[in-house]
Amino acid sequence: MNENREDELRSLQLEFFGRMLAGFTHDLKNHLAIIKESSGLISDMIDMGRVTDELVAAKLQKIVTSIQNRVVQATDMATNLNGFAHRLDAPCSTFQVNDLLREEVTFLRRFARLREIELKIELKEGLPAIHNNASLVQYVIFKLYAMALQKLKNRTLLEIFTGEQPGGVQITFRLSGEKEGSAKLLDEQIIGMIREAVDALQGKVAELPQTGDGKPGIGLIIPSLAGP
Amino acid sequence: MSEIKVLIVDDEVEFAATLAERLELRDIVAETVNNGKDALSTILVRPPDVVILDLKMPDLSGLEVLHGIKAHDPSIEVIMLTGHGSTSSGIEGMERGAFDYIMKPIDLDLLLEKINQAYEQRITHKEQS
Repeated sequence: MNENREDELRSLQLEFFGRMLAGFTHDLKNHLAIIKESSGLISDMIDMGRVTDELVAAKLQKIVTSIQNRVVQATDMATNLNGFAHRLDAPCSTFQVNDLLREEVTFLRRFARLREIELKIELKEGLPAIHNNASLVQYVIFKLYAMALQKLKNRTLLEIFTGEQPGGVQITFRLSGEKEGSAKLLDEQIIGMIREAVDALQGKVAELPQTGDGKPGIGLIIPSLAGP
Repeated sequence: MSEIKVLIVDDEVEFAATLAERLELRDIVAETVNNGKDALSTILVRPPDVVILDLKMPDLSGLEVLHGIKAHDPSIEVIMLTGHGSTSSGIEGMERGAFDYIMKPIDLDLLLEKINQAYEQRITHKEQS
């Protein structure tokens, strides 16, 4: 099979995956809507005094609050997952890097949490909109994030912040507490995996010796390509 | 203020019934149907003030039902329900005459606010015509 045909098939697979995911998140939201309304109805009944035992009413109200808080969290996740799915609709679009990052961090947080690494996100306001391949940008962010976590010791700190660059936006991963022997932050194997993607974005990945406070980091520059 | 009559159109039977019950507890007369065809036949016999209309349904889509409602009585206000992550489908509904849209899972306080606003607009519309 030639390379073009292989790329074409990969695109079709991604498109299929995106559509499945979009349908799945839509259904998930319907289930969440029913859970929310049903628990809301229990809450209404408590408020209207239909549960006469005060202790039971208080206990039920606590349970309802817990369910509703979880529904809010799950809805955010479903919304972000839906965003991911629709990113595959078009190869290039105009977007805010902060929005992409905010969406992706919902899922990335857990990887840091498992290692008790604190994750701080600082998104600079007023960044220019970028025209590029959003799905590919998210893929590169994911790989760089994984690389940053790999270089950090447990119970340390990873800060991710955005800033403007001429003709684009920079995402910086600042590491506080690297593992001993991590002389180089850029892992050759991961860089090899994302090289094609970074090239397609016409972006740049670089190791930053100092990102502020004397801490090292990894920088990703995403340029805005010419619109259609 | 007289009672507000709301028609909930959603193929999720459980969702529509529970939402109707919650609205009834707040003195809103709520009726439910679970497909677009029933929605269009119901508005002929028991016209509501406000329709809460799901965008994605198996028979007629929410946008088709919206078109049918507005063709029959433009003063009936429609609030679209959308489960989509983006707001584009809701905005499309508004461009086609919906009063507003709300995302699923819904925020009941927000929905009540929109129902009241839609009702007031319906009254104004009826007074003018």
